[in-house]
Amino acid sequence: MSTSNVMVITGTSRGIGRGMAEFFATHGWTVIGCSRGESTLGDLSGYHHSRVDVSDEKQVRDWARGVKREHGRVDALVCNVGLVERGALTGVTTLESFQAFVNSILTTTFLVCREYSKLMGLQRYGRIVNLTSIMTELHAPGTPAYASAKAAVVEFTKVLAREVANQGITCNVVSPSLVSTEASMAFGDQWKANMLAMQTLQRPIDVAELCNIVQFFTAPQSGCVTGQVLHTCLVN
Amino acid sequence: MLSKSDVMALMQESIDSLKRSGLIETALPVSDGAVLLGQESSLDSMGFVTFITDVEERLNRKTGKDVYIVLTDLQDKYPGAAQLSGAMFAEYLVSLAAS
Repeated sequence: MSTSNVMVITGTSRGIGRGMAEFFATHGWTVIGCSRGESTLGDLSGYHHSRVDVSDEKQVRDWARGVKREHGRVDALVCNVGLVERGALTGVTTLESFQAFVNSILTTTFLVCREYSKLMGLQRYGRIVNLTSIMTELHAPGTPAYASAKAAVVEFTKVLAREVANQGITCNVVSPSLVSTEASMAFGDQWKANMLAMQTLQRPIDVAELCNIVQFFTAPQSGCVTGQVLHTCLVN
Repeated sequence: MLSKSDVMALMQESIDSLKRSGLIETALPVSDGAVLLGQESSLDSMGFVTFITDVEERLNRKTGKDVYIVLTDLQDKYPGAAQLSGAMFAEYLVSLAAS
């Protein structure tokens, strides 16, 4: 059983998820991370890693049950899922590609939130934060699958927020602008310039800035804030 | 192997525990005819979700097996049923625990 607060974060092998796992593990949380592969966080104190394919229903169920068994409770869930792949205009987006985005973003969020919200319901407390993207507000050409799937996560989060409102569980959305991660930088300078041009504050943000927002949403004192979406670097 | 009466007792323990902790609002004596889901049920939708999550945990502890309650399996077992009674759910849970 964990004596500190327990936070589950998905997608901790790299990028935003990895940065958040490091941040919260060094800020007194017991962090349970997951990815399809081994941990990339070494022997970081307070961090526990599970190999989970979050698009697999049974794996997610077994994982959530195992976390509950081992740690006794789950105080916060940060659902950070995605598919690092360039999108394409609707006319040339294949069905396979569209479905891959929906599956890797929406279906995984649904599966993870379903299992952990049920556990949180039994303990009458929980903080769920789903990560989306400001692309849900920009309607940028070339993002029909990515932006639609992320927008669906916003709607899903709001529905869940209402369903579990009386169980002491809050559900909110952090909607990042361009974040400085290896994955986003790998898309190249032109892509980065195009992204920044669409933002109100035209600079990339650090994962630490996102952690600050997640920290607010996951605080016990934030129990009156649910179903909200917080964008970074964007006036919409 | 769990019997129907074992499962009925487990369901009652769950209901009583959830009531004590305020997770469900009304007490529900579990019997063959008690309506757990559907019109006339004293459990609301979220109460039912909480109930089956708790029953799953109790079944896991009791059997040592990872069992999952799947609503579509219940629908397949009782096609067209407008309600889920205590007896129907108990029979399902017995078969689930034995599988």
